[in-house]
Amino acid sequence: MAVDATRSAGGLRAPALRINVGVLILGAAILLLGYLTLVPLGMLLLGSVSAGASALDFEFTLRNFQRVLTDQASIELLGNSVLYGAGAALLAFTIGTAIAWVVERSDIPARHIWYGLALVPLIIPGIIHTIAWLFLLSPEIGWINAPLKTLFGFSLSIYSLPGMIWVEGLHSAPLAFVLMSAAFRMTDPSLEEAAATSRSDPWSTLRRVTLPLLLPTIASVVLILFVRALEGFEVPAIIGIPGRIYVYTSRVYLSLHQSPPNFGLAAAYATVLLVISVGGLLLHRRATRRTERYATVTGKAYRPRRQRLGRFRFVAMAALGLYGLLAVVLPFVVLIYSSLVRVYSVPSFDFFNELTLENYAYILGDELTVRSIVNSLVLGVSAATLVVALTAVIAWVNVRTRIRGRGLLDFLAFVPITIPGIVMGIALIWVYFTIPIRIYGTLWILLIAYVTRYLPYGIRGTTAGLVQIHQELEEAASAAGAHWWATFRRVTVPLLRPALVGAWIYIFIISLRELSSGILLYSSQSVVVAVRIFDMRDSGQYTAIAALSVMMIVSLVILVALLQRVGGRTVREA
Amino acid sequence: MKRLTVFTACFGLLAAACGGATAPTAAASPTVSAATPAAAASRETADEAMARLYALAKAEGRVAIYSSMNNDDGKKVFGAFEAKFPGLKVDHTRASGEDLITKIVTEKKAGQDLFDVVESNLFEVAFIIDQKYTQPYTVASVADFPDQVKGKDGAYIGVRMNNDLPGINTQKMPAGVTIKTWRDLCNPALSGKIAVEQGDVVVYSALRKILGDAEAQSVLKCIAANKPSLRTGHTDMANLLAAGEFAATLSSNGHRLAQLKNEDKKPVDWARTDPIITDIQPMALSNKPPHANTAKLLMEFLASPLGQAAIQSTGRVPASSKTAPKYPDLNNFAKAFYISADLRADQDKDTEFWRTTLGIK
Repeated sequence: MAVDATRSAGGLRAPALRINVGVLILGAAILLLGYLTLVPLGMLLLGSVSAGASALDFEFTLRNFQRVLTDQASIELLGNSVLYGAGAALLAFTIGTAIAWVVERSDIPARHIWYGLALVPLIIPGIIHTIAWLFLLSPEIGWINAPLKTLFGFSLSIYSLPGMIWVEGLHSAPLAFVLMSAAFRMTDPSLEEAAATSRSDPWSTLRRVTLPLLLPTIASVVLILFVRALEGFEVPAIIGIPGRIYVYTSRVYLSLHQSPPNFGLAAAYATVLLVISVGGLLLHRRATRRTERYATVTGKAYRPRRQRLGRFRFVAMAALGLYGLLAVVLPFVVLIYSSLVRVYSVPSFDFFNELTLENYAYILGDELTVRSIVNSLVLGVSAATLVVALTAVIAWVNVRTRIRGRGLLDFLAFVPITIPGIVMGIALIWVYFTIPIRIYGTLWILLIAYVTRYLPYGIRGTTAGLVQIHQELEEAASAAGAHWWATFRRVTVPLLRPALVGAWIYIFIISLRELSSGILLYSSQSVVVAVRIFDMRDSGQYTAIAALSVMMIVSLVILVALLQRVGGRTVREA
Repeated sequence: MKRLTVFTACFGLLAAACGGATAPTAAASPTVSAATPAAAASRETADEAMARLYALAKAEGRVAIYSSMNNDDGKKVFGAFEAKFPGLKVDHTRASGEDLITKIVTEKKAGQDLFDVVESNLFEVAFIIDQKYTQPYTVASVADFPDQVKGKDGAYIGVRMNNDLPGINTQKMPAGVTIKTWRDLCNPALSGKIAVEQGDVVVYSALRKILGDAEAQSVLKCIAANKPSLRTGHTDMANLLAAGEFAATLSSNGHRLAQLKNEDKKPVDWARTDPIITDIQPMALSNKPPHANTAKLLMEFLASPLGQAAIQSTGRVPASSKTAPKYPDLNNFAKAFYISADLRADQDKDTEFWRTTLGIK
């Protein structure tokens, strides 16, 4: 067995050394991943059933779970969470799929413009999107509501479950678009062509042929969107709490922000959220496991046929334009307007008298905000670099060796996908209540949270990249006398570069937007941008937030454009 | 080699960024001086105490205050401190009282001593004092302050006061509705037009003392029947009131209403209640301050005439009897009802009633 393992490992000269390096890497990686994933989860469970302040003075109690599961509000909490998650997932799926179909499968003109427009909201951090919609749909002063109230005497309150679903669904639609457009692109069109030959109209073809073919993908995408909505924190905190609509994430947060804070109760709520999240992802795996039954992509060359929209092309363009207006233009315009006044008010001609750049000057001169930007960049670069480095090695062990136990490594690296950010936050609090390492409130604890949370993204990217590279190149290096490290560094890594760069950029971008895991772990020294925005909202500094948001959106768009230009095809593919 | 250098530089940057928060290493030495007897300080004038502490504080360089004062006002007040004492820097962590409790309790449980001074509502600061996360310190100018804002044996001192007054948007108020008492907020014409800060249990506790249990409960119930919007953050709520999101609030910070009315010319006013619920904002010294001398210097400064003038300049009500408020019409129309630590005796019961009545789950 040992000899087999070393043969497959490849790239090492001495057989005895091969075993040692492979096993050593596996052991170290398992220990590290265990510390990053299993220790926090273990502490979380311990904390949820402990009456003590840490695992060191553990005293068993079921009081927290009793309250979480039997409290009068618990049914309402579960109901709200499921309705919110399902509603947002379905809305995002409907919008994303409709755009994906039009862009991928119809003859709509200027396809690339619509494609780019659909992706832009991905760049906008969730907290900024949510605050922009507060400006638009506040019951009395929202841009949309103020005229509705004046003209028709009613308004659409954002502080409601439909309001929460709308904001989250709209923000998640680009994710559904990305996943569904890939699916539309990959599906063999012959069945649709057969339907068209049978004089089926585009709508019937979509409903009766295309969507049923994509059933496993649809189930998988909806589940991902559902779990993502459930673990989101921005909408439940900013819209849900003022509207008295509580879901699990806001309940974890409120348990810690009551007086006095209840860490055990927060851990119990987090555990329930974790169980739902794990359940959702297990269902997702089940849905995607037997996809071969639905396989329509074969070895033969094909090109999806585009449906002719005819006169509906203008309807489709208007619908896409409306989406662009709601998801990109209106939020951005309302932020620009709000950033130019001292105190927010409904737009009027007074605006021209109140016009000021004070908010921009405030943001640029505010030490805490500048510090939060620097911290976010440092964390983004560090987390992306660490995750990519770590997962490249793990992927190598998984793909290139036959060492027993490597499956555990893959499992440990994937586990964090089930851990919502706020759950990671409370879990790490329990870890450092117990372990006497004083990093709470520093960037180190945030880095640990980020690296753990983003491991799954890194492992999927690097594994997919490595699988595509044939082993013979590494074997050639080994035959030429290269050691394992030299082969890995000079052959494997350069070949893997597109996948590594892609994973790095993705993790860097999502790090800059991260709020939910940081909100429970930061101090004034380690504050990050999204947390800073959240704090400023608490102080009522909406106009300053608007200025920061405008600067952030412009910077992120420029950054992504620059990366595309510099990275060329590699980055675009990523 | 070049890559290694880049990698090292990257993590050097991270380490440097983290370094700012690893202040506890500096905690050991200042803690010794933190034990300086308060009595010794109390014999000095405020100027003498500040001169002595400034000399010691220069080596520390900064001070971390956890305060509920909003960032804009904090810049003015702490900016005045930094201008007076060159070389010293104030790290102001701004959060609501409840959030400050969470922050401090979590940090302390995780073995971190990150704050020097805490300054917030009495109920929250008293909770932190109860946990023994603070130590007594008596400022030199203590005699300038009324008894109602001082804790026993220097446990805390309030340097500013929040007048908790019902806020009014004069343009959004329905015709014929006026707000002079808390019960006026029960007017059905205000249904869906009121906002309540969900952490304002203290206002209900005060109303129980002012109006009696039965009337206070009745008032809160009928206000709840008007389906108020529940907000977090008084400044946020006052800004939204000015923007026209609500017609009235149960309780806003008087100074913010005055700022919006007088400085931003917004259609805002406040109810002239009798009495005026006066929520003192005490400050207390950490039990293990990382920058003990600068912390004491900051407390001395805030209590001194200079510090009180800086507080006055923001529109907030200084607690010293020697400094008049910038906006006299915030507290010249009725007597003050000071929130006292005694009210905490029924805090759990009051919180339960408050949350149940307003539907805060």
